[in-house]
Amino acid sequence: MRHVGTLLALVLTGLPLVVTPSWVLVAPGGVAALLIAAGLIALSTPLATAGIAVSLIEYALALSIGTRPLDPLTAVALGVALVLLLQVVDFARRFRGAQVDAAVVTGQIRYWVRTGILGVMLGLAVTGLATSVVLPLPPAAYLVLATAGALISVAGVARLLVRTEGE
Amino acid sequence: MKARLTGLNRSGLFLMGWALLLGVVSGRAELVLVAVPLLLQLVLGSRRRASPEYTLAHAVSSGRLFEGDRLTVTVTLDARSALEQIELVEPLPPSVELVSGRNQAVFRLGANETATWRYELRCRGRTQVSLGVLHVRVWDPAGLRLLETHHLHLSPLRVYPRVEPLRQALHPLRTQTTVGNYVAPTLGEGIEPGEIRPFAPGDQVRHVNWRASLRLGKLYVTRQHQERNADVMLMLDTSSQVGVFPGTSLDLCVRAAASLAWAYLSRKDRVGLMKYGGLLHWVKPGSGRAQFERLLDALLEAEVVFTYVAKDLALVPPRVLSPRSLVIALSPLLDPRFIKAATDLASRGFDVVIVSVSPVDIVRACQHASVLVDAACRLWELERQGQLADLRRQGLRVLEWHPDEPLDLALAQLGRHRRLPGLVA
Repeated sequence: MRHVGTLLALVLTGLPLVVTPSWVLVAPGGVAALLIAAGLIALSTPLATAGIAVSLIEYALALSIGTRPLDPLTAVALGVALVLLLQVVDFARRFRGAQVDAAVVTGQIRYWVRTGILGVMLGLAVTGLATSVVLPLPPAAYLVLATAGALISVAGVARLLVRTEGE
Repeated sequence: MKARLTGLNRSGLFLMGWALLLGVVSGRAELVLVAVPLLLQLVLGSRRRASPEYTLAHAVSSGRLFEGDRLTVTVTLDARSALEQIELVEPLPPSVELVSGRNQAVFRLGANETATWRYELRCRGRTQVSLGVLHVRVWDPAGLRLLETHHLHLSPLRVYPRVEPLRQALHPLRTQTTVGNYVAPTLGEGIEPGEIRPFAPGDQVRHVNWRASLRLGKLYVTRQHQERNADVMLMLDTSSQVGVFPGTSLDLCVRAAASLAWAYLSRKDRVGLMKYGGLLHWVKPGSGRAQFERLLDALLEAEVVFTYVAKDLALVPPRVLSPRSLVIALSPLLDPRFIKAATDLASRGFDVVIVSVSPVDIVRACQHASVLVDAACRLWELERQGQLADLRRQGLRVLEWHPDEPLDLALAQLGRHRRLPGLVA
């Protein structure tokens, strides 16, 4: 599992450098790689989460200083790598020291492949939907709309989780 | 089963919010797309799942073992509904250790499938525990939601002290009236020839010594020494202990008591046990295999109970502590109350032998080697030698037993000083 995690960490921290090769990205990329490596060694989900959060800063920086047009495929690939890395670290942590049946590993890999494909498909579908819908709004309203959308998404998922916890 | 969300949900939610925030701040739609797989995972993970149906069976290869023995634990899981990831954990008590396999296992089973899980344990020291508390967690593959419960399939486990075969045991100075292995000075039925005397009415023909009769021209009979058994009372010091499990002074004394009990019972002697400490507990002398089991059961429960009250051995009834019995006191000689009790017994005319396990060696083995520890242990050893010399001056027979040496070696010390048991009173 650690090998898969290392590969995903390389994708996560290396992809922003591929998007925009710049020395500015080395520092956040290095910090992200260190934190993720620490998370993989200690099998700690919080450490891996912190590393992924820093790698997102690296990606945001890469997008900000770069001049590339919208690249949904790379973004979705990064999102899928992020989810898989989080799950790999958590899986290894959950069953550390346990006797794991081969069928469990096979089933888990199958689940990850399925989730990855579904994530890519959904990401591309969202991109297609977003590019096809054009709202007649002033540019400043887009910022407000995006902020509201982000807040509603986070609040909606949080509410869903709280409701599930209470069941 | 109790359902709950895992910490992975918080991580996912945080990263999703963080990606969206960065997307809004940087004004790049890619960061919003990064959050899409996370959103998908969180939504899929929060789906409600059907309660799993399964049965568990837990079995141990043996419920009664000796220290150092191994046992196999077998857990059988029979799934009635499909189980994506079912985790079974059996917490182990500190007195047992894992030898092979794991005490935590994860399975994926389809409906009506069965999985068998085995692992091997080694019993480190005497203990009385119950195995079979199984914690079950059913995870969803995303690791976002789990159902947990525990099952009790209690299998009592009794690990008795290890018995070391002893080539020699201390010979008692006095014997009892029943048949045993010690040659007594009294004449009667036996194997060892005693005296030859003229035939008297009532003597049996098979006792006639024909060689002496032919030589002296008159009938003579051979008398034999009787063979008797003895009462042995093992007096265990439960007032104090030093060291760490499974090598505390009490553990060593318990092992010695079990070995001595087996050695004497094998010689047809009657063996009893007296635990002297915070609580005074005794097993009256008896013989045979059933008595050995009774003694082992009592030794299994031996533990140090602290008290300020000194117990009076006069409370022990004579049928338990017979005046003609050999009392073997097993102690590190740390508590003055135990030393006083042993001294009192000796002054009341009991045949008392103290087998003292060296607490200095035990403590030295537990400490990191340093000049300070070495100096302290040497001073303690000097003090202890003085204590043993005092006891010997009072007429007590004291055997010093170093834990790294076999008990036989300690018992051999007395063979040189004690009267040989050719004829015992």
